[in-house]
Amino acid sequence: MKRIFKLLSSPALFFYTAIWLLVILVFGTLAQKQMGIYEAQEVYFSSWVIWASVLPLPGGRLTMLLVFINLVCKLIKDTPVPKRRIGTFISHCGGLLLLLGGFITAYFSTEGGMWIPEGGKSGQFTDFDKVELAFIDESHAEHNEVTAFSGGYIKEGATIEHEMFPGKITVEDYVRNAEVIQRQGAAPSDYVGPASRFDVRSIPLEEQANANRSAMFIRFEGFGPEDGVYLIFKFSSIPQKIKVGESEYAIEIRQKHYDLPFEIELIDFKMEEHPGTRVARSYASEVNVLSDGVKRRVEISMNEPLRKGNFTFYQSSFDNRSPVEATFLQVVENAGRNFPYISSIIMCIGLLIHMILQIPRMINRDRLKKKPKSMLPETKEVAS
Amino acid sequence: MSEAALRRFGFFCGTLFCVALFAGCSEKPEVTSYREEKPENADAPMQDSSIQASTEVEAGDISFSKPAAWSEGRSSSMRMASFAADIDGEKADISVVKLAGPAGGLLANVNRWRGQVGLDNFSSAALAEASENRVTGSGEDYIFVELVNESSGQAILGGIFERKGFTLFAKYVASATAAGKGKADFVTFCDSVKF
Repeated sequence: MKRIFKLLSSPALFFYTAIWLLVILVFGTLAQKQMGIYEAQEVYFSSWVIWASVLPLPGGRLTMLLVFINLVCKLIKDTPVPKRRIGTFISHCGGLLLLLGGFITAYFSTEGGMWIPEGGKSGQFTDFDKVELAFIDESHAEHNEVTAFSGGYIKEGATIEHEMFPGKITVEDYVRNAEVIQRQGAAPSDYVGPASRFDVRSIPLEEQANANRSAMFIRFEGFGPEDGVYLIFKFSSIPQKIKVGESEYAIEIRQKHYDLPFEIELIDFKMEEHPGTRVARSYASEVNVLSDGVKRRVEISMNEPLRKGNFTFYQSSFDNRSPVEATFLQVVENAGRNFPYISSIIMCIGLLIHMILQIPRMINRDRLKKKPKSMLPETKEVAS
Repeated sequence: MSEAALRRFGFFCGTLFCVALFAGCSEKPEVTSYREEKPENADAPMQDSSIQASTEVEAGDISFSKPAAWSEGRSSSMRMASFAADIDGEKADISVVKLAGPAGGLLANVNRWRGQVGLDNFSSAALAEASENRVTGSGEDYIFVELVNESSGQAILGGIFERKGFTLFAKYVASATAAGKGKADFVTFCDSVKF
């Protein structure tokens, strides 16, 4: 136990993990060109293990966990902290807080986008990466009621049992990016609709995660005449429908939807072009933020995002070629967004204290250097 | 408590915290219910485009006439123009996309569309046989394809304008029945394209 603790609290561990993080950072950044941002992030930074062919290497998440444990162990080892090391202790705490913020961001943040046409408003955004299996009740005149299953439901073998349904739904197969192909030979007798004629084949992931055509075979049991295996795939122009009692639901796989606690209305989209070209020099969205009956006018431009609560809205793209202009805002919900600022301040304070505490020692050292040799204590000669 | 015991306790708590943090982070099944607005054209009454005037639309350096029965479609950064049509309660999605160069080539793009409706790939010879060379009102030539999968009921109609330095794709996605009914409007739309 003591040996493990010694190893985990060793400064050498921090040294090597920090170097390895730099290596991952370089390769992960270079890979973004080939794989796309989201895939590279998953493979290099959000992974426990990076597979270099058959060789397993520590992934970003594992490396950062090691750094975190190393800092915790070092703090425990150094407790109680001597007065002269209080600065480094505070800096360590700042580093720990930064990592903690990283974990919160990695696990509890959401990133997506929303299109808003001029004159329109929206209180929803869709995830760039995650998908949902949506059951859409289109029977209402004004709106659709959606019940969506996501996260752990989007995997092979997952079962859905919900009060809305009389029976059980099982995900028989899930493909993240699929090509829909004609079935060779006859399908099992319980495959209905397109599932009886088509199969799916897994293909490499697209650079942009939301361009992947996710597909799944889902089995309905206990739904009476609607029982069977259905093929659902993204971008299908004709959604599959299922009758449950008096209700009919359209079934879709699509990007996961999130509700915002407020709405954003696009008043005007403005774009300036470089003189003599069609290349955008700057673009901005003039919006109203509608929250609790209060309307607040804000401009979101390329370098000036809108921050509200845990949400940040960045001006990301636009469509000025359609008859009605539209803006695309990237939405980031991050509960840990203040951690980097707070931890950086703590680290700066720690380093400052450390430097201040070093000043008397530096002065003493200078004094010792300036003293003539004859005035130096004789202990040194005795010792040698 | 001795100092050593305190350290052991701290180490234990720290490790427990790390394990708890990571163990609790596997993706959990999640159910959400929400309300969404119906697409604007979902319940629009069907319009007879033949008795209504079309609208001249400009998108960059390209212009075309939008059939009156079409409404604005979903926006996308890829699309120059986007329309939606309602044909007897069935929806059609119409997009115009301009890509640089040959954009992968005519055959590859038609085969990509064929894959989207669940049809096998065309050979060059089959494409030549199945496609139609058309000329717009302003004298621009283009290739028209009609990809219908009778068994799945899906269809794509496409107009491909291969020009020096870019390729323009006009695409009509709908059910086979709706595509059959909306074909005349789409052909009129393609025929109206001006560069």
